[in-house]
Amino acid sequence: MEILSTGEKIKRARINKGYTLKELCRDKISVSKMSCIENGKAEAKEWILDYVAQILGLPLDYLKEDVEAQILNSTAEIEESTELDKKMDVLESNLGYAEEHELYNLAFKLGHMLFNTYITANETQKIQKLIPKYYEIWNKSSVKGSEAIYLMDIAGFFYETGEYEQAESYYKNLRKASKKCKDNKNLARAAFSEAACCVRQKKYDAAYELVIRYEKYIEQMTDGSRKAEACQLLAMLSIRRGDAKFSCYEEKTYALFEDNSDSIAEAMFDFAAAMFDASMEEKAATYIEKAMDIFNGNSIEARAEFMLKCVEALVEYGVIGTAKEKCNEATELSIASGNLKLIEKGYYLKSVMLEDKKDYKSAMHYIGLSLDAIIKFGTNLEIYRRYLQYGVMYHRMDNITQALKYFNLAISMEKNI
Amino acid sequence: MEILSLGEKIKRRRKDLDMTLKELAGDRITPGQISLVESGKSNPSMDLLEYLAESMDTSVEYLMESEESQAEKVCTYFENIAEAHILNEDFVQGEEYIEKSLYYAEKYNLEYRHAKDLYLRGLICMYKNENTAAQQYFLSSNVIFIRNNYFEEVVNTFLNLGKIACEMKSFYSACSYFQQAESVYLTNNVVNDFLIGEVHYYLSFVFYKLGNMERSIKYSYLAKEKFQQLENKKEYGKTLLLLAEEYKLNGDLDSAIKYSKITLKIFEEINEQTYMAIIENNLGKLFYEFNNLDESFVHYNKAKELRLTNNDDRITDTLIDICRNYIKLKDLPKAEEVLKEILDKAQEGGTMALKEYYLLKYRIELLKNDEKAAEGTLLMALNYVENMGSEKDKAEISIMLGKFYMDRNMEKEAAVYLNSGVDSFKKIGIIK
Repeated sequence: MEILSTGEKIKRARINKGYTLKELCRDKISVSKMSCIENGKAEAKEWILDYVAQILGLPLDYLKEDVEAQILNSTAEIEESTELDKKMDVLESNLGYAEEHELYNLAFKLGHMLFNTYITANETQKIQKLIPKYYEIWNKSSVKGSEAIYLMDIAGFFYETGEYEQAESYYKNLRKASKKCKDNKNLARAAFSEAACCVRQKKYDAAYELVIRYEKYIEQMTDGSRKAEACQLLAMLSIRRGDAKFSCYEEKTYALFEDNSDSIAEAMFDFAAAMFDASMEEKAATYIEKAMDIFNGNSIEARAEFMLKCVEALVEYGVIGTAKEKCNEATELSIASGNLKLIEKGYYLKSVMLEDKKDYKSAMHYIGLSLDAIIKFGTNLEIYRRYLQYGVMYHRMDNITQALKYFNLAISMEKNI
Repeated sequence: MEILSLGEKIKRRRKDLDMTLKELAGDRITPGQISLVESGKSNPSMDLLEYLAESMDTSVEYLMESEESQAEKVCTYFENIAEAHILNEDFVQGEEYIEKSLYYAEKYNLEYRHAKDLYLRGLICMYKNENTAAQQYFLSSNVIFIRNNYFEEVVNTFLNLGKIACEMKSFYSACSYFQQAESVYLTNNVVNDFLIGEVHYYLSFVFYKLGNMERSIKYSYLAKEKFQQLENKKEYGKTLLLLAEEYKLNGDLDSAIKYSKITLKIFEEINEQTYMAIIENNLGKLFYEFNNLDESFVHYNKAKELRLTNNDDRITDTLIDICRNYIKLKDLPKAEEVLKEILDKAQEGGTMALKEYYLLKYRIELLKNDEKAAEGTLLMALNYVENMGSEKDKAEISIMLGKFYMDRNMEKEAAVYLNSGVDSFKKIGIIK
């Protein structure tokens, strides 16, 4: 949607009608005044708008709606949209308009929305481009609480890119700042996000300390799913500590997620991973199976990703039997999704299954397919990890040439990480 | 160093001069009035202040200076000393002075000084490789710098945050820090050529790590240009120095001082030679990766020159990189020449540089088809890293040996070294 200032609207309508400035103004307004209004150099008084609307046959409301209101309207239209591409387009252009008209508070809100839309859409490159601009807008804006919003966004981006240590630093700083100004809402959010970062780095004790200390703030959270995530964290950490409170937190988590079965499935997976680490393999396997059953996913891609994650966990902890059952389904889903990253993971898991069956020839075939794919899109670190994994696999298969080849590739790749 | 109120200053000055209240009061006012001023119970008029300053041979400015402004100066002084200690790698002393500065910063609520102290603490942690703590300090100080529009400090802090993130291999985070640094620099007209050169170099580096070659190359050229300008600045500085001296000879002291000040500033800016060498060396590496060996040589040679003049141990690293360039060009005589230099330096230093020496030698011998020598060199390298107790290097060289034998169809030997390599990898937990 195009966003026009009042002056631009008048000019466009006038030219459409084929009027000259003089014809529009007649003896009511001076031509130079109208020219200033059209170019945005002067504000039009109410009676002038009335007059112009009448002459040009435009609704007065349309003329009066200023740029800010137009941006707000067009933003509201797509705010809840799930079509990410469209949402990004609209937000990008609205942000441009807001900046052009120096509406920095509005621009900040748009920047915030765009940033989070990019995160949902996994648009890392676009976020990188947005960051300097977002930073600049933040400095020019005067929205209340913008500091916390901005810092929270940046931290969230670090988390999404898997740089948990960096995100942790950010959240810790936010937590301290929120504590100082007694902002309990942000305090709780920062504390639980910090704990989540600790968990990702396997610093379970530090995470546990945090969640216990801030447990009482959960009630003050306004967002239901954030509450649930906090409970999920508590439940998961209880397993790791062999704490009896697990089932209590577990129930609370499921209840808070209400009928969002995907979130429940994610939580169950999370619990299963903790159970594996606590040597409760059997229970873990049943949780994973259940999670796979109830997970729907709003796209094939999401479903493929979740299935692959589950199979990978089963493989890693040696529950090969169940893994085998589900591996084919997961691989097929990944191919159907068309997402190369998922397809590659499917090939990798398939090769592991085949190796387990001692069908080395087919395993090698899938290793080849996986490598062809990962070289195209993988980061150096991801490629390095696969090289090592295949080196180990070939070593197990007693294939010295191939084992040496992949270890050598891994060694030279490591220098580029 | 003490911070005194107006009354305290008057009292102290009076005591120093051995004057009684009565003597100071003269016939102008009553001793009681002065006593009230000294104890802070009454504020003197401007008239009276002038009288007091004159009678005690001091200035009104001195008497009038507020406690905050005195505290500000005290903090600045402590911070400068702290920074000098930090640059001198004496962190204990540095921390002591920061502590002193912080005391006054907190007492008089000096926000900027507080931020600066946090920043300095961050620097200490950064130099001590306590990355997480350093980031905490930088983040806290930056919130204050940003709020109060201290742009150059903001750029510096973002730059440091980014460097630490690079150290921790968090390249996305690093990239966003450097981008924020660049954005602050450009939108607020900060003027510090070295600083922006650094920011551009680091942007080039992280974009390379993130696989965004186009932007990496763009920034590497921006950095290159900046550093070239700085190089020219040295010449510029020299001419200014000459100018200053000429003015002095002509007796025009004002102009002489003016030019000497500018010269000093320019020389300070370019005085970070060790640092410059690091960046030049790394630019060389980037251009090597971009397959632009001519440009790469230019930067390596600058780094080499800087490191030779400064007796910098890292000269071996530069020589190793130069040798790699020659190997890539298959210019073996030149490569061997550099190799000799490396051996000389490595024996002086006694570091792991010797391992790199063996590996380069091995590659050259392979290129010369001297297999016997190559095998011997690789075995020596293995022996060396084993003696040094480096399991990871042992793993890598074993695998290389395995490959060497496999390529020559010596399967038995290949298997032996493969197994030993896998064992080493397992020991250090790289594989399960």
